[in-house]
Amino acid sequence: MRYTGSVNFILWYLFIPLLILFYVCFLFWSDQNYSNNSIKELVSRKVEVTNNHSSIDGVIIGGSNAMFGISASSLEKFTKLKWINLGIPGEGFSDINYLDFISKTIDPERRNNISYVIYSSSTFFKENLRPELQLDLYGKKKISYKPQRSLASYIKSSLGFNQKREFFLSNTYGDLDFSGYDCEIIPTIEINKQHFLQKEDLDIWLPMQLSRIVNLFPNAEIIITLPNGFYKNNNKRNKILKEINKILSSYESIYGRYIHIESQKPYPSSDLMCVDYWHPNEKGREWRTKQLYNVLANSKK
Amino acid sequence: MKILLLWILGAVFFLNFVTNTEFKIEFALFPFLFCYSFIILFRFFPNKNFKTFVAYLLFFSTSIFTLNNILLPLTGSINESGYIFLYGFPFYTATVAYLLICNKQVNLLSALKITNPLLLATGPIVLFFKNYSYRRLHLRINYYLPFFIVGLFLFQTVGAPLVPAFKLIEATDLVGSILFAVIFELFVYMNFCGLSLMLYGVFGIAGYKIPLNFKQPFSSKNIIEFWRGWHITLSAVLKILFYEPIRKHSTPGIALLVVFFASAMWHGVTLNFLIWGIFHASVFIITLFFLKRNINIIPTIILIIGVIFGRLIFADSNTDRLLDKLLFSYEGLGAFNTILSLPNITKVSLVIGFNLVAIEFFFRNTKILKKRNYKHLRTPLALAIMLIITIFLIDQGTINYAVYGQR
Repeated sequence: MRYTGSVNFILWYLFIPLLILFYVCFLFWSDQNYSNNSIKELVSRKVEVTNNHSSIDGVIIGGSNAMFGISASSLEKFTKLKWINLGIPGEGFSDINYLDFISKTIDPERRNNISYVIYSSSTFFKENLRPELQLDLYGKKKISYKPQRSLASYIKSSLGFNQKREFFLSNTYGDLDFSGYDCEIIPTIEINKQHFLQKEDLDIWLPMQLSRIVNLFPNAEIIITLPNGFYKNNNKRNKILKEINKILSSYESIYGRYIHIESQKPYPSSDLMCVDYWHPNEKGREWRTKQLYNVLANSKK
Repeated sequence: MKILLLWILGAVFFLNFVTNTEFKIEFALFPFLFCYSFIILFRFFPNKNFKTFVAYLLFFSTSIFTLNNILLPLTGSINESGYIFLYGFPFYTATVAYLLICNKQVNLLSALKITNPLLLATGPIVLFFKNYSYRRLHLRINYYLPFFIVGLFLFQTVGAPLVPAFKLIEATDLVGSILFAVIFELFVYMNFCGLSLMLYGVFGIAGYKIPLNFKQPFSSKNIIEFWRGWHITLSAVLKILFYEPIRKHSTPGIALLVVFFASAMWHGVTLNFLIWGIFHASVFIITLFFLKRNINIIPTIILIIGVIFGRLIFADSNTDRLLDKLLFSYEGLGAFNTILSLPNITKVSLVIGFNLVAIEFFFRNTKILKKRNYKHLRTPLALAIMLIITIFLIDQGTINYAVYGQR
């Protein structure tokens, strides 16, 4: 028992305080060394792409579904207008982050000349509105009592076990370059996009987001697209579409310009999908972009 | 002064770390003013009948508010009321009701104790708040810090990563429903018990003893013992407000039915809670029947069934889906695929959680577990292991919320 007592003493007065000290040091280290290189690189290359264009006619904005699913280069071919794709993963992790990124990336003069904005957002599919400013543009969280990543995941990465897919970007339009991207469907990745924003949340969020976009692009027609995956349409989707239409029709007259909602049809085949059943591959992107072009063509009429 | 400081510290802590929505000082101030106004009211109207009436009104005010959707039913998912003034309402109204029925003296200091924002966010119901400052600080740290570490481990490392498994709530087949109920039971235990232990530790170190809300409920042989260890403060309130007065004029069966009905209504006025109340009252009465005849094995089986099916009913306030689940249709073992598709951290937490419960249950008669105060987890070796596991697994990806708070 005497030996047990001394072991307990060492554990309680030496080992446990050392563990706590180690943890505090790890917290600061994790905060200082957080890097989401793939997103950082993607964002900086989107800025580079935008700077290479002296004038832009149309811009695609939104989250990963816009980045994977809409091609600026194809739209340019169809419409003979200059397009860029500014979709980034997680849509900047908050609306304020993302719209701030856009306003800094395209200067006001070029924004004034933009005629079309296609906004493809996953926010419509969130059960609750995402909180503002909890994460930065690259997904880094504010320092708290929890580290940015777990120690286990750092160890796993250092041993080469983390299979993180890097994003590749073609330089001219901001489109994703699928040639270097492994699109194999991972069955364990399950993205449930059958939930939709509650009406109360939609009534708050959509007008707010719309006014932000309208202010950023004062002369553009705005096409909001309700993305889809390889899922069947359901009643909830039709219901939210009606609600969105109601909101948009009232704001169209306020802002005095064309604001339209397009509900994307589900992808017709799983062969058009990449990694999961929400994001398309190159073929899926072409399929969706053509659909969008039809909407644009109709809007011109 | 110290109580006021603790109150302010509690508010500041929540302001920065715990709440999921933006915390406003009104959240904390309103409960205090509410409780204090009642204290003043009863100085002017000390009539006993009036006090009793108000006590029951306060207790059932939670039910009335859930009926109107002002407060949300307590199913265990993230429930945050849009009415900021109702922050922690079920807890402080239950405390005031309890104090009124017990005829305890209350003053300004009591209001500050009852409405400490830390306690309002997580429970327990503050039945007492004893000064313990006469013990030296290092002795208090030696005794109470382990409770905090155990609580942190249960809440953060085991409970929080289980949230991704909640998608199983959609499953209406027998296997899926049971799997969800089992995991959800584990989550509620780890979350609520973890937070209660953390607060027990924090207030203990600060020099105040508050109720220990959980006492190893899974170290039980039957459902009666289980309820003696689960959400003890609510049981105490129910006993004083309902069981004892009704038992004077009626049979234990009827008294139990009323107790579980009242408990169900405190959680929210929905069909699932009504069924849950009747179900648990029946399980309790059946257990009593067997125990009176010295049959011990059947109550243990009933305990397992009662806890799992009780949670199945408790967790789902969607009536149509719940009724589908109660058809118990067998549709294969597909639900296990959902478990396999969960993040690794969730699977690790499931394994740790089930092991902790298994230790509580199978070793309940050993010396270290017999007192039912988590002594087995408070040994330096266990604490060191828990800290190592926590340091390895903790990250910002998990969702933290108090399952019994922030309605």
